[in-house]
This record gives sequence, structure tokens and C-alpha cells, in this order.
Amino acid sequence: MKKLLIVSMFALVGLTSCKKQFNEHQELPKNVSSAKKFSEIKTSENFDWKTTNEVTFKYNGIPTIEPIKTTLSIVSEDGKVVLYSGTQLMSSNFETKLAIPTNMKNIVVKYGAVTKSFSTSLPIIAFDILPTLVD
Amino acid sequence: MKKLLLSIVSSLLFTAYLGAQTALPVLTAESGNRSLEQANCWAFGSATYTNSAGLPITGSWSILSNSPSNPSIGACWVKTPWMKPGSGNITLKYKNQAATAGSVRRIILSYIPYNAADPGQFKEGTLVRFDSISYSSPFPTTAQNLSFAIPAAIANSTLPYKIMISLVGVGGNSGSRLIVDDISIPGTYYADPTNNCLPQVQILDKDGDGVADNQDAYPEDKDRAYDVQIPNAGESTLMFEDLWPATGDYDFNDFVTAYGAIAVTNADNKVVEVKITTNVLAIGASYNNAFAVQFDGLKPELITGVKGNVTNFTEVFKFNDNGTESEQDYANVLIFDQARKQFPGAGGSGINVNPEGPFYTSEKVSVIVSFNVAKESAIEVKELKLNPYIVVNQNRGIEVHLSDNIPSSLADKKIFGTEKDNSSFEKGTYYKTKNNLPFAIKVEGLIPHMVEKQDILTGYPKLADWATSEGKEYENWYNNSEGFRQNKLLIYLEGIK
Repeated sequence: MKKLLIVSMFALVGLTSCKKQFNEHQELPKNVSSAKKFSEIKTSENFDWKTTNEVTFKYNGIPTIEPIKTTLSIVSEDGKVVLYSGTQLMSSNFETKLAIPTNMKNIVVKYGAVTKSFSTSLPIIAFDILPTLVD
Repeated sequence: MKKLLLSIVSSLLFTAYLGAQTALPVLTAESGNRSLEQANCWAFGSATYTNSAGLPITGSWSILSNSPSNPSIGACWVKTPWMKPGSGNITLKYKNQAATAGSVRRIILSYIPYNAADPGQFKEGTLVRFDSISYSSPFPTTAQNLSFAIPAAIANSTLPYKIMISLVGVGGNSGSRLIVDDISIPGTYYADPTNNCLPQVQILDKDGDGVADNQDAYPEDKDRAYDVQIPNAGESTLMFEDLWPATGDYDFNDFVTAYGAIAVTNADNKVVEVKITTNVLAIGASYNNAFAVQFDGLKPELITGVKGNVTNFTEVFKFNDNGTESEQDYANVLIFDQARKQFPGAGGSGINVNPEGPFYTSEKVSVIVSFNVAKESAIEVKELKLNPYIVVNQNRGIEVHLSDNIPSSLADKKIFGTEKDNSSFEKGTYYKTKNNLPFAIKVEGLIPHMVEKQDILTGYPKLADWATSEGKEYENWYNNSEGFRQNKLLIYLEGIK
């Protein structure tokens, strides 16, 4: 019984060593860093270290019977962050770039009573107030 | 008398805020896109536009009914926006697609009064039919010019109405539809496309700047209308290493500040002022740094004044009359000249970087940068690119910026590219090492900073994966999510989560 116990212990130690050796030589999954210190980080020279994503916002104006203007606003879903707010002529185009925090997954665009929600994963957000046609 | 009073009150309620009094244009369908008309508050019930060969009456497009199998007034129609009817005749052109299919074709005209009490979104009152014309087979397949008098009950009214034109029939099929064109209705346009196409109303605008009070951040100030956060995140955390061009211990706590900026614009969307607020959170080094913001690309002359900045502790900085720093190509605004002075009563080299405390609260500095709003000089929010930086230990030539943000004119160019810095003026890359590591990091929102001498990866282990994946993985590496922070290595000041 004593011999069996000793043999079992050796076998367990051997297996653990093999497992450790395997982990150390196993290739890390892509995009997972092995850096333990900041100075060891390896990243592309194009990486900009920003915690925002740049999104182009476009308001597509439409011809109107008479000049109509009201406030165009772009806000976070909870309304606490105003990304843009300004007077917008309904018939004029408008374009601006937004630096949207990466943790802001959606934004809300308001033009008068028209409200639409957009995902910030898109590089270009195009907004208009054209209704959806139903024939 | 009561009726007269009601009429006066009602007309006041519907005072057009644009005052344009534009005549309702003739509906020609030539846009080829009904949604453009719908956006201007026309409505279509089962009526479409057609440009099929042989169908348009005038131009390239006409209005086409559905298959006329139902004589009901609501089977197929075109409805005007809210309008104030004039007097005279409503005119339109009509023909039928086929002469014989079906037994009846009918064009019916009705008006709809406004009813504020209507629970529906359109606020339409009870429809009143006032005229019609009927055709029996064979129907006309060439254009007929039709004319209908506007009824006296609504002619020249000060109240809003809609006119509805129904295009209906019996016994039809898809090849025998009604076609109409050039619908002309005397009267003025009175709808507001930005308000669910309801009638125009007088807006409340106390300061008279043209922005309704409920949309105006400054309803009693005609020179200000909107607040816009720049960049678009609200408050953020700026964390600097201050040994540039050498690298340091990468605890990114040599200078840590809460930072926020709001652009205030007027009703013409021109920037009136930029409000910059800072609240220093920690100083994890012995240097006494200054903090400044450069407005990239903007000439100092565009600024008319700077208020609220703290500039009286040193003579390192020189200023123009407008409060911007002198001898700069772009407008530079010093926020405060000595970070340590922001912590009255604090001693020692490190402030708020020891987990045992003591902890100090800094003076909040709010700076207002005023801009010239004269037409030739005024700028818009999209032209604002704020570039915050520190001036290291009162040495004006040594600045540390976020990676790839351009240095100011007063940064000592000779230092760039030395030691660990890999900046290149030719390539337009700044404040990064050969391995593309930054000397400063900005995080949207307020986050805890590192305990002194603790590498930032020990507090934020997912930061390495985020950087290695070029931002694709763990994009919220700084969040307070499970496994994202080692809290014992972070300093949580009051209000920071």
C-alpha cells in the first residue's frame, strides 16, 4: 500500500510537470498579450491609444416647402452626454466627426419630434427624416 | 361673440414661427419620391407615384391610385399638409389608365379641420366631404382638367385644414387605375415637419435668438444656445508620465487630472466660448508640472479672452493681451502653472498615490475661453481640436502630450527623437516610443489611478490585451468589470468608481 502511494505521488508530480511545461510552451491565442509590464507591450505602430472611436455623422437634408429649422442633437442613450447640438436647417446637409467613447454602444439622434437610435459600431451614421414608405 | 373670441384665440395659438406664409406648392409628383413629399407633410393612402410609359399626364411622374375596387372615401387618397385655405378653385388633371375595365371612377374632395382634442397623433377632426365627380365606363384616357371651388366654410380661414382628394372606383383592376397630376390648392402651408407634421405653433423663445426655450441651454441669453461636450465623452481622466523623453515606471500617475470641456455655441452654431474644467487627482512625482490646452489649428487671434486660469505662481509663461500664451502659432491656454499649488496643505513629493493616505482634494479650476463670433472669424464646434498637455517641472521647452498630438511652438524641438522618444515631425508622429508606447493616456470617464510605483498593467491587466489587439479586444479595459481591475493597486478618490 505504501509502495502504491509513493508511485502514485511520483506519477502525479510527473504529470503536473508535463502540464506546466506544456503551458509555458503553448502559443498564446492571437491578440492576447504576454506582457507583464507596460514596457513589454507590443502593438502596431498604427494603434492610437484612444478610448474613443471616430464616427462620421451625416445629416442628409431634404427639400422643404419653406425654410424649416430646429435643433439637431446627438446624445448618449441616457441623454447625459451631448455629443452635438445645434440649429439645423431641414433642407441643408451637415457633416461632423464624433469621438465616441468605446463604451457608448448606441447614440440617439433627435431632430424635432424625429428620434432615431444608431449603433456606434458603424463608421458612418447617416440620418434623415424621410419616412418609411408603405404602399 | 363667443365664436369670434374662440376664433381669435385659436389663430393666436397657430401663429407661424417662421412667418414664411408660403403658398402650398402644386403637387406634380416630379420628385419621383413620395417620401420627400411625406417629409413635407403630404400624406398618401394607397396612392403611389408612377413614371411607367404612357401613364404620366404631365412631366415624367404622376400620381397613381390603387386598383379601384372600393368606392369608399378612404380606399385611396392624397392628403395635403395642414394649410390655411385661400379662396378660388382647387384644380387637378385626371385620366384613367383604361377606358373600359370597371364601372365607376370617382374623385371626391373633403376637408379636415384641426382638433387638438383628438387622441390620435394627427389631431384630425371630423372629415367633411364637399365635392366630387364621377365617371362611368368608358372612362377618359386623356387628361381632363378638373376644378372644384373651395367651400365658403373654410375659404380664407385663419385656422388650419387639410384637403383630402380620394381616387376611388368600382370594378377595377391593376390596369385600370386613376391617374392624377398637378394638384393645385390655393392657400398657405402651415405644417411643421419637425413636429409630427402638426400645425405650426408659436414657440416660446424668451431671448429671441430663434431657438425654442425647451431646446435652448441658455433660454435667457441671446448670445448662447447650446452646450456641446468636446471631445464627446463628458469628463475624462488624463494620466501622464513626466520623464519624457525618457520612460519612467509606467504607473501613469506622475500627473493625473479629471478633465472636461464644453463648447458653448450660439443660435448660428458658432462657438462663443469653451469651458475647460480640471480637478487634479494625483501627483506621483517630485516635479511641479503645469497644465495647458492647445487649440490645434486655431490662431490665437480667434480668441477674445481667457478667464479663470491660474497663472500667478511663476513667470515661466508669457501671455498675449487676450490671455493666450504668447509666441505660439496656435492658441495655447494655460490652465494652471503649478499643479502642486492646486493642493493647498498637501506636503511630500507624492500626493494621493499612497493607498494609506492621506488624501487631498485639489482646487477645481474652471477656465472660460471666449471666441470671436464676428462673421469672418467665427468657428464651429467641428473645428475645435483640443490638445491637453503638461509642461514638465516649469521647463517651458519640455511638454508631454497624448500620443500623436502635436507639440506647441514653444516645445524644444531638439529633444524630440532623443532617449526613448520616437517622435517624427516628418511623419507627424509624436510622444511615442519605438514600440509605439505612449507617455500619456486619456480615458473617457473618471477612473482610479495607480498606487505609486505600480506598473499600470498590474492595476489594469486587460490594458495589454487591448493594446496588442489594436483596440479590438477589451476595449473597455478600464471598466470596473470582473477581472479588469486589481483594486488593491488602485486609488479610489471620492466619487470615482
